Amino acid sequence: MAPPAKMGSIDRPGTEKFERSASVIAKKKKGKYSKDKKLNANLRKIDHQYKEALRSAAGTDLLLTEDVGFLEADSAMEKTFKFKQNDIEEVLDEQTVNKKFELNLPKLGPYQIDYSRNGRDLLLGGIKGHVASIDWRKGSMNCELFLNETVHAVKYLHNNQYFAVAQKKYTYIYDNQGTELHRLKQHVDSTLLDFLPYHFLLTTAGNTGFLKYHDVSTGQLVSELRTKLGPTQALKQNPWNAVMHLGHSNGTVSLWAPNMSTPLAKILSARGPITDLAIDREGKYMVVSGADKSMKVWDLRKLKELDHYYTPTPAKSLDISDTGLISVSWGPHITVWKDIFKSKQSEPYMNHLIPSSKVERAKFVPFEDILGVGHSKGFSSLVIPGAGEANYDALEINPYESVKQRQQGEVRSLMNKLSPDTISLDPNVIGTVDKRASSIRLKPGQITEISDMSEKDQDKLNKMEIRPDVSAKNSALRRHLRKKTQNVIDQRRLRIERNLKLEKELRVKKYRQDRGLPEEKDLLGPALARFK
Amino acid sequence: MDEKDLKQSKKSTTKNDIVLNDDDDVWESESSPDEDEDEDDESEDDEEVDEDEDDEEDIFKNDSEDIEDEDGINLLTTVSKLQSSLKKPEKERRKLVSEATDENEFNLPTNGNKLSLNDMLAAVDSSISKDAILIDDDSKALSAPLPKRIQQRHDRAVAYEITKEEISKWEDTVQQNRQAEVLKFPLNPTVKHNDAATTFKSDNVPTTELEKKINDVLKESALIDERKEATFEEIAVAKLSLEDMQKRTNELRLMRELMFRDEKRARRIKKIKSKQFHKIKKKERLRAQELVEGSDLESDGEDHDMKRAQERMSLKHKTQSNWAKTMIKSGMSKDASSRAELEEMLRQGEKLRSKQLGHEEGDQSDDDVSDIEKEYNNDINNDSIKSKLGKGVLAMDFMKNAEERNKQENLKQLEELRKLEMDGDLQAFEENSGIVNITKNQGRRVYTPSSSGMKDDITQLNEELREEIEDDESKNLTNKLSKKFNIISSTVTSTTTNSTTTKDTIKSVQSEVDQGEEINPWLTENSEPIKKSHKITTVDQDSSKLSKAAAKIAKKASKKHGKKTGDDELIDIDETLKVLTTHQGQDSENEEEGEGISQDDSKMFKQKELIKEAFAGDDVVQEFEIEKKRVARDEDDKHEDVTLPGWGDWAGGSKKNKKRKVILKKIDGVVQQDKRKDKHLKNVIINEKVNKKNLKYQSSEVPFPFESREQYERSLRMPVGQEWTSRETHQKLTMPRIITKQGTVIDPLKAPF
Repeated sequence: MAPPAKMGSIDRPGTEKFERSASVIAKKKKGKYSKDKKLNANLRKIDHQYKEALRSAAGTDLLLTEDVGFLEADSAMEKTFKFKQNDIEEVLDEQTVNKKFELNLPKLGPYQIDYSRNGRDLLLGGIKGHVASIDWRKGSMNCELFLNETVHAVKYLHNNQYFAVAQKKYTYIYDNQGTELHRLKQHVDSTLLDFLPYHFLLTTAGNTGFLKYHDVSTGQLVSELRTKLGPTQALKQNPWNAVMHLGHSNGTVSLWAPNMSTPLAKILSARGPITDLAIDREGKYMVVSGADKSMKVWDLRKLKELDHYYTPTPAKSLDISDTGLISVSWGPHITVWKDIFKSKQSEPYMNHLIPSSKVERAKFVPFEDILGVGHSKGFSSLVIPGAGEANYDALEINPYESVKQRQQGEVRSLMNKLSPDTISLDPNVIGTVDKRASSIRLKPGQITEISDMSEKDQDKLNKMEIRPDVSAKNSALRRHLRKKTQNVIDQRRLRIERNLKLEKELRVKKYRQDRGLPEEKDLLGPALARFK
Repeated sequence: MDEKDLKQSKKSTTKNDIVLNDDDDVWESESSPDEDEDEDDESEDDEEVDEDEDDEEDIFKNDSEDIEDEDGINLLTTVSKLQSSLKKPEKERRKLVSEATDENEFNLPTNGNKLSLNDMLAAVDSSISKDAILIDDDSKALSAPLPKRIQQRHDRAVAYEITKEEISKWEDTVQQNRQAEVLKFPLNPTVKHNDAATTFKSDNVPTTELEKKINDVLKESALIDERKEATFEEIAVAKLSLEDMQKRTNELRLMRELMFRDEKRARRIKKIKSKQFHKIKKKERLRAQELVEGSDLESDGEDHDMKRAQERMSLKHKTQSNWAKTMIKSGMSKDASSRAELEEMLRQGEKLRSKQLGHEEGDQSDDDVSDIEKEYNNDINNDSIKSKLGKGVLAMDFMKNAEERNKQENLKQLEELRKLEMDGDLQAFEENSGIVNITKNQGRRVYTPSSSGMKDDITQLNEELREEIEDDESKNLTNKLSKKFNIISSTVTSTTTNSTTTKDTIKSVQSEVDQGEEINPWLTENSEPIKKSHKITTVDQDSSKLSKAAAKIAKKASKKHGKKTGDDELIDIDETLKVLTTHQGQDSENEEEGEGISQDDSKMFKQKELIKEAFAGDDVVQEFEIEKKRVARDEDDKHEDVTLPGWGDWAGGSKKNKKRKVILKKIDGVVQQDKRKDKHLKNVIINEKVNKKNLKYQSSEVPFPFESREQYERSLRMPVGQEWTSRETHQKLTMPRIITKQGTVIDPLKAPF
C-alpha cells in the first residue's frame, strides 16, 4: 500500500493511471528547461497545470461508485466455466434475469445483430430479409421489416434513429420507424458494415473488394479504396484511432485509413482466410481468427503476435467487451475468455451451448453484463458477469438518455465531427511537429495546394448549386430534374425546382446587367418580396 | 557699568526701530538731505534743514546726557537723532523745470550741470563706476548657446531619466498583472457582505434613533457599564500567567474527576443491599463523627461551657420549666412550631441524661450486636427449656435444623464483627472482597467492563491493603512507616493511576499464565480438527480391497498434486480451446511426443498437421514474404545509371577503354531497407509512405516561443476538453484571461505609491 499523501501536497494516490507519456525534456538544472526566462516560466506553468490536472483526475475516482464483478470460483476444484446460465440465473436479481431472454425465430435466420452505441436498442437482421429494431430492455419493437431480400449486415448509425442494412445489391439506410431513407447505390454488393461515430462515416466492404467510406452527415462518399485482395471476410474498426481492419481470404489483416490508397499496415495472421477479428476498446490488442482454426492475439502497438490459440473448428464470431472479456463462438458453442491479454489462458471464463443451432454473431452489450448472440434459430442473450463497463460517462454515451438528451447529443457530436483526413495509425501526431527532415518537408504553398484541391473536388461533387452564368440548358439542376423520374415529387425535387426558379431569375438579372440595361424595379419592395 | 551701557544702548536701538517703523512722518524727514542741492525750494524746506542740523547736534548732547544721568531718557529726541544719523536713500522730488535758454536741437537741457567725459565713461568703464558693464576686466565672453537639436537631445535624456524613474514604480504591478493567469475586473472589488440576517452584531452600536435614545438614557442612569463585565473577566484571567492557568485548570479537572469518582462509588455502595455491610459502614461513620465531636469537646471547651450555660438558663431540657408548663397547659403543644420546640427540648434533655449516665451516642449500635449475642447466650441456656417444651411445628426436626443453620450463620457473622471491632477493618477486607457479588437479587447481571473492572479494582485494592497492614504488623517500625507512606501515596493521591496499574498487573499476570502454558486457546481449537483429518492408515496385505484401492487413488492424487498437472485433467476437452503456445514451436511438440503425452495432445498435433496440409496449396506465408521483400525493394532508394554510352571514347577506335566510369544518380525512395520499421517484425508490412493529407494537421516547424519539439509536445500533452479532464481542470484551463463584471466601471490602474 502506498503511504498516504500529505495534506495540502500536490500528490494524491492513484495519479499514475492518468499519466500521459511525453518526451522528456532534458533539464539543465533543477526546474530549468531553457535559457529563455519567459519560456522557462511558461513551461513550468504548464508542468504545474499538468500535475494539478492529474491530481484532480485522481480525485474523480471517488465518483466511480460501481465496480466490476466477475464470477469467482470458491476453490481450485470449482471452475467458473462449469456454471451454466441456469445456475447463474438462480442467484441473480430479478432485473438482470429479465435482461436474459431468447427470441425463437427459426424461419428467417441466421441472424446478424447490432447494438446501438448506448446499448439500449438491438437490431436484428435475418439473412432472409427480416430486420427488426427492438428496445430490448422494454421489450418494445421500434420497427420490423420484411425485405424479401438477402440481408448481409445491419448496423446502427450514431444513435438508434438510423440504421444501415447491407442488402443483396445495395446498402440502405432506414430510420427508426423503418422508413427507407437512402439507397446507397455506390455501395454495391457489400456484406460488412461498420460506423465510425466520431467521423460520421459509414464503412462498407464486401464481395467487390472495395472499402468505402460514406459520410452520413453530408451524404457524400468520402473515399473508395481498392483492397486488391478479393472479397473481404471481416471488417472491424479500431475504436482508438478509427482505422479500419479488414480480414482477407489470404490470411492477412489490412489496416486502412480513408486518406490513403494503400493499407497502413498488413498483418499475416492465418494460413487460411480470416473468419473474424475483434479489437479492444483501447486499441491495444486485436484478436484474429482464421479458417485454419487459429486464433491469434496481436499487440497493435508493436504489431507483434502475443499468443496463439487453436479452436476446434474455425471461429465464426469474435467480440471484445469493455472490460476485456473475449467471446469466441464456433458452431453452437460460445466461450468467453478472461485475462487473455495478460497471460496465456488454459481454460475459458464461461461457456455456453446453443443446441442444434449455429452462432452467426455474438456481441457484448455496452454497459451491461450481457452477451447477445444471433444464431440460426433466432437470438438469445446470455449473462456474462463482469462484461460491461460499470461506470458510464453520461456526457459521452448515456444508456439512460432522454429524447432531449439524445437530440442535444446528436447536435453536439455533429459539431465535434472529425474530418476523415485526421485518421491515421497514430492519432497523437495531430498537432505535433513533422519529424521528417526539412528537405522532404512540403513547402507551405504545397500544403495549401493540397487543401485547395480537396475543396475543388468538393465543388465538383457539389453540382447542385445555383449558377447564373451557365445557359439554361446546361444547368445541373435542370439536368438532374430531367434524369430523375418525373412522377416522384418529394422534398428534394421541390427544393431543386425552387432553386431552378431562383437561378432563372438570377440569369435574367445577369443578362440585363451585362447589357447595361436598368434593373427591374421591385414593385413590392424588399420587405414584401418574399411573398411573391 | 559698561555692561549696563550696552544694555541701554540696545534698548534704545530697539526702541528706535519700533518708532521708525511706526513713524508716519518719515517721508518729510527723509527728504531733507536733498535740500542742499535744490536752490528753488521753498523756505519751509530750509527751515527743516536747520532743524536737522540741530538734531545732529542734539544726538551728541543726548549721548552725553545718557552717560551723565541714567534715569531721564528723552525718547523722542533720540528717535529723531537716529533717523537723521541713518543714511537714507535719496528720493527724487518733483521739480519744476524752468529753462531760460533758447530752444535748439543741439541745446539740450542740462539742469545746470555740465556733461563731462568722465560722466560718459562712467557708464562704460567699470573702474569708474560699478554699474558699468561694457568694459569689464573680470568678465569673460558668454559661451554661445548649444545648437537646438543637441539641446533637445539633452532635454530628452533628462526627461527620459525622470520618466523612467516615474514609470519604474509601476513595474511590479504590471509584471504581476501580466503573469496573472486570470484578471478579474474590477481588480480589487470591495467585498460587501450583507450579514444582517446571518450573523449577530457583536458590538451593540445603536443605529436607529430610538436605540440611540434608549442607550443615552441607560448611560445617563449608569445602568450600562460596558467595561464592568469585560474588565472583571479580563482582570481575573490577565493576572494569571499561562502556567498558573494551566495549573488551575488541572486542579479543576482533578477535582471534577475525583468528584465524579466519588459519586460513582457512592452510587455503587448505595446499591449494595447487604445489611451487614451497611451496619459496618454506619458504625464507621458514627465513630468518625464521634471522634470529630470528641475533638470538639477537647478543643473548644469554652464554647461547650457556654452552651451548657445557655441550656441551663433556658432550661430547655426539662418539661418542668415554666415555659413548658404554660405551653402544655394552654394546649399550644398542638401548634406545630411550639410542638417542634418542645420536642427539641425533650430531645436535648434525653441527650443530657445519657451523658450523665456515662453513655455515648455511638454505643447504641454496640448494644444491638450485644443484644443478639445476649439472645444467643440466653438461647444456649434456654435450649434445655425449649427441648422440654417440644410442641408444635417448632419442635419438628426440620425446623430445628433450619434454626440451627440460621443460628450458626448469625454466629459466624457475629464472630466476624467482633473481630472487626477488635483489630480494625483488617478482617473485613479479607472476605468483603466478594461483597459486590453477594447481591441477593441477581435479576440483572452487569457485563459492562467498567463494573467488573471496578470489582477487580476493589478486590485488588483490598488485597493490597490487607497485605500491607499484615506486613506492617510483622515488620519493624521504620518499615512500617515507609510502607504506609507508599500505600497512602499510591492509593489516595491518584486513584486513576491505581486503577490502571491494577488492571495492568492483572493483565501481566494473565499473560504470564499464558506464557506458562504457551498455547493459545484459539489456535488449539483450530489445530485440533486438522490433526484429526490427517489420519494415518496403514495398508497391509491383510487389509480389505476397498482400502487398498482408496490408498492407491490417494497416492495418485498426491502425486498429481505434487506435479500440479491436475488442473489440465479437469478441463473438458470438448468445451475448451486447445492451447499451444507459439513459443514452444516444434521442439516442445517433440518433447511432448517423447514423453508420450495423453491422446488429446497427439490428436491436436495431427490436426495441426492436417491444417498445414489443407492450406499447403496456397502458400500464403511465402507469398507474404515475397510481397514484403518487394515492398521493401520498391520503397528503397534507387540508383540510376546515367552514363552516356560512348561518352569520352574516341570515335572509331577499336581500343577498349578499360576504365569505364559509371555515373549513378540516387533517387530517394520512401525509406531505406535497413531503416524499415517492420524489418524485425514477422508477418507484418508497415506502410511508410507519407500520408500527405495528414500533413496539414502537423506543424512544419516548432512554433515560436518553444525551442525544441519536446518542449512543444510537452505543452500539448494535456487535453483541455471536458471529456478528458475533470470539470475543475477543464474550467480552469478554459477560463478567459480577462473577466469583466458587467455593469461595473473599471477604473484605470491606481498608482501603488
